[in-house]
Amino acid sequence: MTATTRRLLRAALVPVAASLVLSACGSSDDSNDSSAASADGSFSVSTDDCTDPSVVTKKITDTISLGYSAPLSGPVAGVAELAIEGYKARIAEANAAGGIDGVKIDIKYLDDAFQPDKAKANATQFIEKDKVDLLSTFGSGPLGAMADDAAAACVPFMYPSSSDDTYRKIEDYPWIVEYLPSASSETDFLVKYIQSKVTNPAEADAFEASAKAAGLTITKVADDTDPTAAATTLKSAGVDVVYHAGVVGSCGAFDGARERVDYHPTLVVAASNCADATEYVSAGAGSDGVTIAKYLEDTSDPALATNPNVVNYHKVVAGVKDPDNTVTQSGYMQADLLVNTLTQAAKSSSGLTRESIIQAARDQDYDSPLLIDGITWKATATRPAGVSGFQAVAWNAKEKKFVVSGDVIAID
Amino acid sequence: MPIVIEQGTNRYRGLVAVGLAVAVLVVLWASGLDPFQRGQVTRVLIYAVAIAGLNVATGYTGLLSVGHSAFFGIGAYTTGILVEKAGWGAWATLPVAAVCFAVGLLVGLPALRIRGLYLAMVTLAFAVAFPEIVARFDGLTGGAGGMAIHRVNLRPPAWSGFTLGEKDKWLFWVAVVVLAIVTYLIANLTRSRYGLAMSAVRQNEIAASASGVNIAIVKVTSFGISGAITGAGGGLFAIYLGNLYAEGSFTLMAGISLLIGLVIGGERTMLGPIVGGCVLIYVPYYTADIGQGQASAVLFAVALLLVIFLAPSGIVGGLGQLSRRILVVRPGRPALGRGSVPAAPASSGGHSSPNDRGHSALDEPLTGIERQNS
Repeated sequence: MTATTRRLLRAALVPVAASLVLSACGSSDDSNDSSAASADGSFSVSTDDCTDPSVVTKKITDTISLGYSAPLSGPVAGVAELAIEGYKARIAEANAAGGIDGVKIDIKYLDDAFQPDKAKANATQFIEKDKVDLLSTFGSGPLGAMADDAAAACVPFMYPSSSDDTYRKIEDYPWIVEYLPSASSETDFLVKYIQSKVTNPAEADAFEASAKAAGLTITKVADDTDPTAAATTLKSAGVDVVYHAGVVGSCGAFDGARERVDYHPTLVVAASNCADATEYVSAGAGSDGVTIAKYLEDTSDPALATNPNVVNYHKVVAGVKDPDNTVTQSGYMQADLLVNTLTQAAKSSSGLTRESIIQAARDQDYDSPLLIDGITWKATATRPAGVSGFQAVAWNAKEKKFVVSGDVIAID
Repeated sequence: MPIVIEQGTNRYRGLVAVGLAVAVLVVLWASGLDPFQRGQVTRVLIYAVAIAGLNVATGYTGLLSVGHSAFFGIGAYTTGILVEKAGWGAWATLPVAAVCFAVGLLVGLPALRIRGLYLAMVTLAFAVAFPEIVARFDGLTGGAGGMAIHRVNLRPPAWSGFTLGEKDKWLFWVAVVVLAIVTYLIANLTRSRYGLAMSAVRQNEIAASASGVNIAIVKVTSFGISGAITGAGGGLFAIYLGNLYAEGSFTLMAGISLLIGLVIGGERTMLGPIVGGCVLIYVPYYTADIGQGQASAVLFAVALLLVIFLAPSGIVGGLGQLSRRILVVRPGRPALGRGSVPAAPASSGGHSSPNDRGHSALDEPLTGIERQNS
């Protein structure tokens, strides 16, 4: 192993306490349901075990009701509020345009304070009392608490903000379609990206082999609850490549701390959650060059000011607090995926039913307006739903904006 | 003048029978609620078990703990791991909350040298460390990503007559039984010689020690018993939730919530944990109807402040004081002292222990020991 390779392998991971990203580390599986790809490749799911199979295939004609368990209070309420604002804006746009073939979408929110047991209680209320057609939530903990009840009642769980690999297993959780990219897909992308920065092919191959064998070799883990302590720890360990599994609010703070302790590793890559320009502006020079896996357009980029999709987005989210925040954009896109899925389901031969909705969610190749060119939202009977790729963007502290630092890399 | 009923008399037994009949009727009524409301009641019962455990350490022995969320979590993960990794039936795992007894003994060790806020700091560290420990042993616990407990593995046992689809109904009854057992055990514990020792330690350690109470054993075992009971609540919680996520369910905030439940419900009362569980579940639920999100949290806080202001000894403690204007239940007089030893009215409010009669700290354990020996 060459010295360069060894240096590269000294990648470091900075986990974030209470991070949404960390929750991507799934554990076990489940065995609730039976689902399969049909002979023609389309998705099918058995409704025999549903609490009330007739409801699953019953046509929805009055209102499409979705129960959303959200942390309206508690530690992540601020972040959730941004996402919900984007979500509401897109749903309002769809309803103003006549709904789904004339059927309006009605979202009911209940607070779970990011606590799983409250989320489970909410799920029971939504399913048993409110008789909702669809469910959604924010975070892997609440999703895990609600998953079983949703599966038993066969209520489609549409695009919850979770990246937990556990619920990406279609055969085990056919009724859940997550929104956030899985940690493994992001890691795949980052490995490829780091490879592309290595000039010696032999070293790159070695890195790839190592990465495949055991994932990134982690030499030091530092909790970024105290960003300065994290930066100091990694600096003293001589870490050259840093992966920051940050969430909104912690990304720029860590980079600012690096600057203060004069720590400048060769490469800093961060989770896609960190694609928030405002944080890096605050972080100053320390954030220069931080590279992020990105799949949403930067709606604050002046170069996209006349892009029709961005123009329409700004028009729709005109009243929200922070329209160019990535979380707001994510909320908008989640709702956009929902609208597209419902529209697709309504066009199916069986019309708008819970069954046709989940089938539509498993049959996607959709160019959502906020996705970067070259990236689409994909789902098949065997491929878990998610973006088709990522693009590396690096923060330019001088120009105060993200600049493209590589082509879109497909993750399939 | 209030009506005075003496323990051990027919009138007292009649009063107990009426209380039990009311409890049975309430349980039967709750079992017939719709699934959502029954689920809420189940959560109340689970939290009541956990708070009852905290009541042993903090209420009866005076060992302030904000870290019982960790015992709650250990109980939950013990159930989760035994079900998922060892193939145990979920219900069979509940007695294994004894694991929490051992952990409780260890956590109780610092209590030998420190108390009050300093002890609270130790338990706080325990609570803060727990999610990190869970994350560290991700191979066993699922780490930060959580542990999914398969629904099929939570199937009620065949002898119960409940199907998998009736799991929540079955859990309701299990929670009722566990809470009944826990309440019965704690009631007997606090009336025992050991219970008197707990009370003595709470009120004045020096006096208790001078009276022959082994402070170290009382403190450590109180923590052990307390942890075991709260751990059993954690096991129920795991079965209820089917998914364990330490960062969401077993944080320091959860520990503080248990303490809030105890204080609001009423320390050193048998019904306090149940009322505390109701407060934790229903106050946020109904305040959410008034104002969503942060407004709901503020309303919840205001409601708690009001309760503390109006009933400093907790809801059950406050109601107990009011009820004593009408009805006083006092301990039966020992045969030797009947007719000659004045008996002060005991506190009621759900249940009473001889520890709450207003005697001095030194007087109580001595009196208790004499009674035990007589």
